[in-house]
Formats: sequence, structure tokens, C-alpha cells
Amino acid sequence: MATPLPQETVSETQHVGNDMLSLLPLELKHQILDSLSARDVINLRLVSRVWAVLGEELFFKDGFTVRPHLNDMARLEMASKHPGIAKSITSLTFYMGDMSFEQFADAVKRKSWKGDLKKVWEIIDRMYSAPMFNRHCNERILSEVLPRLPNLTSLTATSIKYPFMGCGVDLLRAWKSMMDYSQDFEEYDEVSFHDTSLSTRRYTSVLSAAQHLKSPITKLVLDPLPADFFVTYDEMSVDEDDGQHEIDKFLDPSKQTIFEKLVSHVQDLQMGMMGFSFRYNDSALAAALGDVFGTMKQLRYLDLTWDLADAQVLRFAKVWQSRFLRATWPHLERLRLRKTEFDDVAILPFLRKHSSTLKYLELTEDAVQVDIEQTRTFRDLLTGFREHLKLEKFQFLVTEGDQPIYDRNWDRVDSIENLTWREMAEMHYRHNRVKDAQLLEWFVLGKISWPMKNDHPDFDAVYHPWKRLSAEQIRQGMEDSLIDIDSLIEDEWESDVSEEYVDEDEDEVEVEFEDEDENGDEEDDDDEGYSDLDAEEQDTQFGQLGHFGQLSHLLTLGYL
Amino acid sequence: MSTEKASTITLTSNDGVSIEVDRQVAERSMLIKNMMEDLGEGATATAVPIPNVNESVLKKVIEWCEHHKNDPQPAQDDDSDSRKKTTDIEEWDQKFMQVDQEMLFEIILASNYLDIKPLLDVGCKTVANMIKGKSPEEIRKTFNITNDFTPEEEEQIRRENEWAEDR
Repeated sequence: MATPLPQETVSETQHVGNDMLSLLPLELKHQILDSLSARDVINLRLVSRVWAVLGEELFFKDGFTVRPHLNDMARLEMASKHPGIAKSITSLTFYMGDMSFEQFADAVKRKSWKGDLKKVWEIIDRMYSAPMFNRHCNERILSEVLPRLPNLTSLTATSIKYPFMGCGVDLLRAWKSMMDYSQDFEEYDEVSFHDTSLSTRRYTSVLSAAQHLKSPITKLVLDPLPADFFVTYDEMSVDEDDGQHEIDKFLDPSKQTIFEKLVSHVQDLQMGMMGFSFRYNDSALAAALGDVFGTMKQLRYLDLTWDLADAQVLRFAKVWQSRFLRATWPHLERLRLRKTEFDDVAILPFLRKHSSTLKYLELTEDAVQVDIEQTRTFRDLLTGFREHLKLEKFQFLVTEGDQPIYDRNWDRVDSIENLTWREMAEMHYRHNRVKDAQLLEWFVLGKISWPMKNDHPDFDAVYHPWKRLSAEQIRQGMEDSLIDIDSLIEDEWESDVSEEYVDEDEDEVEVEFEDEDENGDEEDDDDEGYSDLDAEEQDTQFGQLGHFGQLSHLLTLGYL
Repeated sequence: MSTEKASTITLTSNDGVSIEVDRQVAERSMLIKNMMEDLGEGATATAVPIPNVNESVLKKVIEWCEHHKNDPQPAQDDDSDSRKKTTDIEEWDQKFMQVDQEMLFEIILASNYLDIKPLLDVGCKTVANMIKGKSPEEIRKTFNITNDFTPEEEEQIRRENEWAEDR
């Protein structure tokens, strides 16, 4: 196995001529290395002994990724045995590759595959080849490897991205083509491609092995963690035919311990939770899963998605929610909740508890359940935020078509380079007007009065859930305010006072398509007739095309 | 931001040349700034020896400080992250750094000694840019580095480098 170069030899090395680079003090050499990409650092190691040794510490400065179709587990194993290089691994990402082979194959079959699409098959074939499949996320190997990574502080296990991102070939295009056949595709629908028992097995391996880590994890991404990780049940009674576990499942205290240890120092937690075949009927389990959040005293950022909308799990959800909301995080700065269905009355005291530190808040409409039968509305909820929280950024997205103002890193999504393909597709949907979410943010930050005609979004109007007031009406509502609303909204404002809005929109659309032509848009057919549609019809048309019709535009424009 | 304080101080290079500099300019150096604060107003009367820096390098460093005298002072800790992310150098600094290699390294060492972080950053980034994208042999040529590996050692490094991601 690799042995590091002896340090004494290195320091004694004589440099002929005036090799001033090698004579720089160590700290300055480090500063130069810091400015280099990992690739350049690795290349520099071949220059001389000094740089071979110094380069070790930054070898994996960009993180280490373990992909299921490559020999990454073996690579990780070897690198972990080199003390210098092992030190350079501070961030480790597992692409879980836990999709069901059958489901995936079925989806792929729906098209004849050429070019990049063929590469999808190659990757799938490699993923499911026996040696690769058995080694990937293998607990025994990881239990040996992870304790050898003394500086590991960031751990990611994701099912969502793989193999559609970050694996070299242009799978994004392939994936996109595949999804043309799945009109209703949404982010978590990828989960329908999951092999749930494989997923549980692999997450369990990674998390169990991680308990042997020597350093505390400060950043943890589990996207999504199968809830089955936490349970125990009698293997014998699993129905092998349909994979449905018919028996009750109960909290496995050993798993609870593993998880609590793993998150005890976590500052940044991005987590989805998946119920899978889980029968949510154990209140002790619900309580434990809620309580565990309360143990994360170092938490600064929390991004949590858990689909608790299913009525069957109502009791479980209630217990979990009430326990979760007991948590107090002294350092919480950023919070993002999706699908958690918290009670609108219960969420406000919870947020107020964190008002001295909480700066950024993002909710989806299904993160909080507003009891409209009690005549409560989202306006009431947001008014509560406005009055009791001291936020700097706020994002409230109501429907799939709602344009985000911030991405997952809380960077503004105005600049196109920062957008994911999904956000780009969505940006194309609505025209360049002030986003609804932006108006609601201004409201919560106290910059404008309530900007909508409706107090509660109209969920039937998918693309226009909010009806805006005119700028003039907002201005009237702000008589006493010192804030200059005109500078805030500039001339981008468009209310839903219809005729005016339609005219302006038409102009914008014509301009848009001219731009596309200049960029060599090949989809000329689609352009015809657009400019004489009014705005509403355009939205309908866009709606029929779906995200992926839009996406094909972007693809031909070369954005993707 | 002109002040009522004594407006110039004298620096003496290690080859005995005295250079008078605006205090505001000289205080781009945290070393000098802290020294002035410690010694109080009386200190401006005597020349400050800069034992590690010769005249030509000191002049060059002062030229940089002169140009950047109105820049905001860098935050003490905050800069480390942004510094690592990019090797972009603003145009004036790029031109400023077009000097022979000996001078480049002298500037880096002087800015390190004088504790002028932004200049040190520019210097290190300039060196990093000279390394970027080059083959090991080209890097050796550029910096006059001797290949001191045995063939076995070189082979070992090559093997280790294969652990890097194959994209």
C-alpha cells in the first residue's frame, strides 16, 4: 500500500537555481494551494517532493463522491489508507443509486435510445452488475474506511440526484427526454423509482458506519432518509411478493442512538424523510423522531421535507409535529420547511421562540396547514410573521408554478447561471414581472401592505393563485410609511387589472422569441402563433406543454 | 478620510534608503499600523526600519499601497472563504504584478512580513495562475524546480493521483 514520502527527506531537499516557489514559507505555500483547483493541486504533486507532500492535504478539497456505477468504493478504500490524502477528505457524498431496476427499465423502454440515452443504459448496467452492486455503500467496508477520515465533517447521502447529475455524461438531457413521458413528474416523484428495501439497506449502512467516525459531522444531507431506518420488525413476516410489510413496526432504539449521535454536532441539516411502506402506528416512534430534532443544539440551518399530508397517518403526524415543535435551537438562522403540515396556530409560537436568531424562512403552502374552516387564512399567518419575526429573507411558494426568488442556497435566482433546470423551466412560464413570492416577502418584511386581493391563495388557479392589487392600491395602503414604494417596485409592477397586463405581456413575449431566434432556436414550429395569444391563453398553452416543453426550449438555447 | 494626525512617516529599507510615505498609505501595512498605535504620536518623528525589505521592493509595495489607500480594510477573518474561491485579479493589480519572478516573490514575502493581506492575496493568486493548467514539466520550467523524485517515488505519486475522480 502507499506509504507517504518521509518528511525529513523533503525538508532536506536542495533546490538548485533560484526556485523561490519552493522556498516560500509553508503558510504561503498553503495559501497558493488554496487558490488552486483540486485538479491543479493533484497535477502539482508530480512536480517535486515538496509539492507531492503538500498536495496531499488538499487532494480531495472539492469533496469525495461515491457513485454506484464506478469503482468509487475501492477508490475511497485506497485513499483512506493514505494518511495524508485521507486527511484531505472533509466532505463525502454518496449517490445512493437506490432506484428500482424494474421501474427504471420500464421508464427507459418507453423510448428508443440513442446517443446520450444509451449511456443511461450503460450506467444502469454497471450499477446493477453484481460486484458493483454488492460493494456500493457496503457497511463492512465503510465501517473500516470512515474512521480513517479524521477531518470528515460533511456527509451527504442522496437518492434524488443520482444518476441524473454529477456523473460526467450528459445525463441531464437523457433524463429530460425520459421525463417527457412522465407529464406529472415532480421532484419527489423520483422516489417512485425507488427500491424501498434497497434504499433502507443502503442508508442504514452509511449511517451505521458513520457512528465510527472520529470527527463530528457538522453538515448532513439525507435526501431522503427512509423512515424504515428507524424501525425494527420481524423479517419472517415480510410479504415477499409485494414487499409490503404487513406487521407493525416499532422504534429500534439502537437506530435512534446512531442517529442522535450523528446529528449531535450538526449545524447544517438538509433532510427529506420518506415514509415508504412504513405503517405509522407507533406513537413512541413518532415521539422519538420528533424529539431527536430537539437534541441538535448546534443547528443553524434546517431544510426539512416530510410528506405528512396523508390522512392515514394523522395520529402519527400529530405526535411527531407536537414533539418537533418543542425543539429550541439557540443558533437557528435559516429554516426551510416543506410538506410538514404544521398547524398554523402552533407554528407561530415555535418561530417566535427563534426570532432573535432566525433570519431566513422558507415555507411551501403544505408546510403549514391553515384551518380555513376556522376562517383563518395565509394572510393571517404571514401577518403573524410580519409582526413577530425579524426576518431578512422570506419565501413562500404556493404552487408548482410559483416562481422562487431564492434558490436552495438562499441566493437570488435572478441570474440565470444560478438556476437549476427546473427553475429555468419555471422562469419561462411566467413572464418577467415581479414575482408573487417577492410581493409576499416585501409584506412579511414590513415594506408594503398586503399586496393581494385574496387573503388566501386560490389553489384551483394553478398559475395565478394570488390576485394582485394594483400598485396604486398598495401605495394607498402605505400612506404613513417612510418606504418609497416606487423605488421598491420600480416599473416592473403588474397588477391583475387585466387589460393593461395582457398588452404588456404580449410585448414581452415577442421580444423573448426574437432572442431565441438569434440564439439559433430550432423549434420554430412552436413560435408560430404565440405572439397573438393573450396572456391567459399563453399560460394555458404553456401549461399543456408542461415543464418539459419549456425545457426543450432551454435545451435548444444551450442553457442546459 | 484625512486626519489631523502627523501625515507622513519615514520607512528605512534594509539597504539603508529612507522613504517618506503618507501615513494613511503606510498603514495599509497592519504591522506598521499596529506599531503606530502602540508607540503613539511620538513615533512618527523617527524612521521605521523595515529590515526584511530592500529599496526596490519597498518602493513597489508602497506603489501598491498608494493605489489602494482608499480601499476598505479587509475584515480579520471574513476574507478567507472568498479568497479561496477565485483567482480573479483586478486589472490594475494584474499589471502591477507583471514583474520578474524574483520581484514577484519578494513582493509576496514583503507583504507577508508587513502584513498587507490584500497584496499577499494578489501575489499568491498570481503564482497560482502561473501554475494553473500547466503540466508538471511546464511548472518545473516556469519556476526552475528540480525534479527530485526517484522513478519509484514518481510512479507512486502517479498511482495516488489516479484516486482523483475520473470524470
